[in-house]
Amino acid sequence: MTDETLMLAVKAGNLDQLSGLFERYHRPLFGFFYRLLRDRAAAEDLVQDVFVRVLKYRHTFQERTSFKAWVFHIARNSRLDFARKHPGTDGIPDDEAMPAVEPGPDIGFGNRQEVALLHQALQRLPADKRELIILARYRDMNYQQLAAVMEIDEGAIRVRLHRAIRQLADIFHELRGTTRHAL
Amino acid sequence: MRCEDATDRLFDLASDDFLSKDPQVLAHLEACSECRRTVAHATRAWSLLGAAQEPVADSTAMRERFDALLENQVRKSLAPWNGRRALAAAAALIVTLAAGVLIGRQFPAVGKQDASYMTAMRQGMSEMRELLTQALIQQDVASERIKGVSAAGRIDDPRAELLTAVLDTLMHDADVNVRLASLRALERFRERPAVRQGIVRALGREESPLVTIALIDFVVDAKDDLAIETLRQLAGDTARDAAVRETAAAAAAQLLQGGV
Repeated sequence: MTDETLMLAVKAGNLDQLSGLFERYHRPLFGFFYRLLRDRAAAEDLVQDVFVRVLKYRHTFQERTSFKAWVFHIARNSRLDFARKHPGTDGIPDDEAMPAVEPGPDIGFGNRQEVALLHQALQRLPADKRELIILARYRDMNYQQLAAVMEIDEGAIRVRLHRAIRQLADIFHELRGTTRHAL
Repeated sequence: MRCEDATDRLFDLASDDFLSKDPQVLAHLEACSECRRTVAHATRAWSLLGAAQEPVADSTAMRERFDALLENQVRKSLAPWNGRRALAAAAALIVTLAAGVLIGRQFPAVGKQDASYMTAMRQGMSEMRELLTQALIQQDVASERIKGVSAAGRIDDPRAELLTAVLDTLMHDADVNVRLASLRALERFRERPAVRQGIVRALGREESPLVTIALIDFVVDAKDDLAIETLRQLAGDTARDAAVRETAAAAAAQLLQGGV
């Protein structure tokens, strides 16, 4: 059964079907929040908050909408509310050496260092750019889905994503240069 | 094509290697070393992003909270078993069961079968009481929710689902008095790890100074070392109320010393 079919059933009052959507989406949502905030407890709370909102706003889900885009749009709003309530959580973390995520087990030492540096670079991006890159790279969203999540047109999304990637690459290479110099 | 025309067209999410396949862009790249460098740096970054592992979620704990949320919502939505009618029905059932127990006491039976019947009866009453309590927690009126969480605090050995519902009320209820009542209800169960973890979470997200200070008192009374980091963050958060920062700093110091 597709995500959209399950969500339409939830909308029609069959709330038990939300369980299937939770199973499919709690990990991707957790990953999204954790990569943005680097706070496990906050990420778990936000996932719960997303499902509270899915129930609350279920009547707004439209038949031809992508559930994935819809739920990440909710997640984005949830994260923005969190940032408003907890100022400072979107900025550069105090401990820059702490990686946001672990590199995969199948990559070499040199690459591990680079992945760690890249995630430092990611944390230095403004939250909206970081969010865009995370959705595109880790949640496999296409331009259309990103446009739906961000509520802007596809052309604007293309431009924003290009600029975010270029900025990330610039920060990464700057950090890499600094690290090499320090060594 | 000039660099400023190519700059926002160099990459394509739909492409396997993230590079644009637009012939005009490719022709520009052939001729422009600056854009080639930009592309090389960006594709390297894009590729390395893909080498990171997905963060591991604590699915069991998250599922538990979600199930409690869903159970409450489903119960709420089951017409006509919602609102006051559900409360009245549950209360009537409790009265009936209680009458059964009293009658059983009036006519004591000695058989093993009768004893197990009475045990099952008491268990049924206890479960019904928890259901009634959860139904109260879901009411729209704040005073009813306070009754619900307070009733939960009086149950001797509540199921995990009920405590999760009280913790969720503590974290999400819009009414300060309901959140305070939830906290009071949880005091009896502060030795349970799920309650301790939930309280620390609530401490990190609570905005009302009154409730925050009550939460701080809770973790100090519970001698909960897990709260030290959150207390330090509160103490250093200049956006917080001065009394909250002061209380949090004192509490962190007290917990660090290991005494109350």
